[in-house]
Amino acid sequence: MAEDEEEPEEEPLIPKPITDKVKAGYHFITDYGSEATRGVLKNNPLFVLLLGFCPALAVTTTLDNAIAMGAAFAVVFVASATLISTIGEQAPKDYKKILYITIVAIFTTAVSIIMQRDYPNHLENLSIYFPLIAVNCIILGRVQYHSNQTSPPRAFLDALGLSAGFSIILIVISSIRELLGTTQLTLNSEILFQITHPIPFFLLAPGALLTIALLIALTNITNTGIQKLQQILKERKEKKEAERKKLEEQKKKEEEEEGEKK
Amino acid sequence: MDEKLEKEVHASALHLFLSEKINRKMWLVVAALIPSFIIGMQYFGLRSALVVTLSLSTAMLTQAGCNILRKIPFYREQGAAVVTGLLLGLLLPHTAPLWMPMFGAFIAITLGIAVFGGSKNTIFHPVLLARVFLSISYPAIFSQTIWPDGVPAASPLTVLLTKGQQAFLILFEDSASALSFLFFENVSGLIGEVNALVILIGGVILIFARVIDFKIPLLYLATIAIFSLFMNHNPLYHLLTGSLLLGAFFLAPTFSTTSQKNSAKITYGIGCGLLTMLIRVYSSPLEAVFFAILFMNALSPLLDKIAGEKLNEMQD
Repeated sequence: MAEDEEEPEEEPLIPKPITDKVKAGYHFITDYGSEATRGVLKNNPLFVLLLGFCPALAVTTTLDNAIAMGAAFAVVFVASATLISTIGEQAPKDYKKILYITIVAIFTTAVSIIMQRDYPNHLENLSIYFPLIAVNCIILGRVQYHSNQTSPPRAFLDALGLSAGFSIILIVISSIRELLGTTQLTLNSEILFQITHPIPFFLLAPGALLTIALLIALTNITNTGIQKLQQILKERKEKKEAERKKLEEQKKKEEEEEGEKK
Repeated sequence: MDEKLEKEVHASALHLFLSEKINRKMWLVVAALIPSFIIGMQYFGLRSALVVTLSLSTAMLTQAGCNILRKIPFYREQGAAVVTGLLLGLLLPHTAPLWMPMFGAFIAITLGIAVFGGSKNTIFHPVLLARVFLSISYPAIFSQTIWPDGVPAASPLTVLLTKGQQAFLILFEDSASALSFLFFENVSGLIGEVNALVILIGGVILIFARVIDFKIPLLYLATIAIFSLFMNHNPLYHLLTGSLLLGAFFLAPTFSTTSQKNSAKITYGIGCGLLTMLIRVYSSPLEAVFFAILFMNALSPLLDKIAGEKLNEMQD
């Protein structure tokens, strides 16, 4: 009995082999890295989760608007997600949602005050869609998810990834629409790119819907392509392992046979 | 019905050189449209022929390209492409810049047909889709009727709806000459809309050949006639203007975009008529037919579903 009790105490004393540490570090990086990057392509809020279409349709007429919206959204989302994940289950159950909306609204107001000082024109162009960040369904949905389940660093990375995905898509949509609709792509009233013939259809609401539909098709194609690639790689790995096992078994058999012969 | 038709066509040697499974419906629609094309060409001059030919050839080429992308023979579904190109050309004014029919046909085939995987799966009528795309993007080209002598003026329908029937009749000597103008001459500047009689004959041929169901155009036209009677207008003025006849016979009942069940077809026709009149009175008179039919295209699966449920209840 005494020997049995001593064994678990001894285990931490034995230094772990380096490979284990590397493995743990690799696991840590991939875990947190996937937390941050899955929002960009695999769980893109607009094109895969199909959330938050209001700003994507209304704001994306110019590139400036899209960048302002994406940046403001990212600041509000990251700050409120991190703060709410620290509150955890201490919040009273009945008033949880009200508390979350209040926190998001506080950050929205703070960002709007800062923008009023530094970028008043951008705030004016965003009009009603800026205060609507406070009730954005991406933020509310994720924040509720973070409140019970995740630690603050995870929530921070997740919010960062999702808002990066959101902003990238806004920028892509708006640059397509601005370029095709007005013949030139401008950033801070500097012309970046120009074409000869306008298609004003893309500045209107149906143009936005069409652009989003075509881009969703494109993301679906890339996502299924990535899945297929992963599956092919997996199958190859399995095949190789199976072959290796076969070889090992054959070797064992041969050894046994040789042993029997001897 | 479709399979039988396809078998019949399969047997006829005339079409065999074009494709194996050709859609006879589509070629009948083309045959019914060709007279209005010839008359439009006579009325507006050779430039109109160029517009229609460009739209037609771009549609066929785009269809061939899409077919190659989908890895099927390039001659498949060319019937639908020909109808699309021809109709789109006929719905454009003869003064349209030459890139417009090509762009429109490209959009009709790619976004109207190819994206949904063939003409049997389209949700919206591809011609209407392209035409509305063009008229939203470049409203200046469509807003005015351009008469053959090159003078732009407001179309008769716009005058009728904005200034009333009295002002409309002042344009002509008396009501008989007004009617003859609407019947046999340029109505809204579109190539395919010159002679109402030819369109009517084409539509009747389509009905008797069972390409389209008689319920949809009949109810569509009847609804508009009744609505115009309520407005104290002569119903014929409303029926002959604003590309209504083309819409009723060639746009509303063709392709896979209409309701399939009989009771749903009735609702579909009446809905088209009501929406057309509402858009004509309160918004844009010239594009009312296109917007109304597009909207009803979107509703047609729902109408089918409601009709099906009712039938099931009756059987129970």
